[in-house]
Amino acid sequence: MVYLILGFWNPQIVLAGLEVFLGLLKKNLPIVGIVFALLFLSNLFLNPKTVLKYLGTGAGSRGWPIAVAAGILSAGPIYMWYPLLGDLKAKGMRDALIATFLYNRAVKIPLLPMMIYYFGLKLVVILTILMILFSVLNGLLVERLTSRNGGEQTES
Amino acid sequence: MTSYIIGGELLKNGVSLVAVLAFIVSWVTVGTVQLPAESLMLGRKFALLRNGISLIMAIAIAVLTVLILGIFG
Repeated sequence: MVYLILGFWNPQIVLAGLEVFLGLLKKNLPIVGIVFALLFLSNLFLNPKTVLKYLGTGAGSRGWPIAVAAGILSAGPIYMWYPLLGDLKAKGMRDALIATFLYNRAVKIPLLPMMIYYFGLKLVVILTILMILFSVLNGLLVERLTSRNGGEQTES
Repeated sequence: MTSYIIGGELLKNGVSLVAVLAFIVSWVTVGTVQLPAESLMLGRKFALLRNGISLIMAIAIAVLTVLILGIFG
């Protein structure tokens, strides 16, 4: 609406803004596609029983490596992952594993060479290991504190 | 990516490693801009707790990293 009104006064700004928007859209379309594909596949193959088996409260220690690896390997803007995580949460995924997944998104493998350039290999190795360990702690703490008052309803 | 570049430059200009690491870790783990979206999809309590705990952990990780680096450096 703002762009429409602005277009009457200064079409150049609107066109520049649209160009940026289209550039971002083009850049993010592949990851949007991947996330939608994952959402589709999860609805097709992941029933609540399966989610509970590997990522629910009864999964035990099985869910942790999955959450850590998935967080590290996930790419693209975090907004794209919220619907999938909300869907998995509705199917029974533990809050701890969701928090661990989100925390491990901070470990970005493609950017490690840049970090090593600025800070050195030893520091990057120590930092990465600590972040992975703390991601599990983060998950456990979040789950403990959110379940204290009986959890909460979410939109998914 | 931006946080690494800024952190690197801050380090070159004399800012302590603990401060720089805490800055970088909190930049990548704490997301206040996406709080509304996270709250909507995953619950407000979850979103606030996760980000709050991540903020505190950023400092802990920074201190521990420097300590361990000092032992093995």
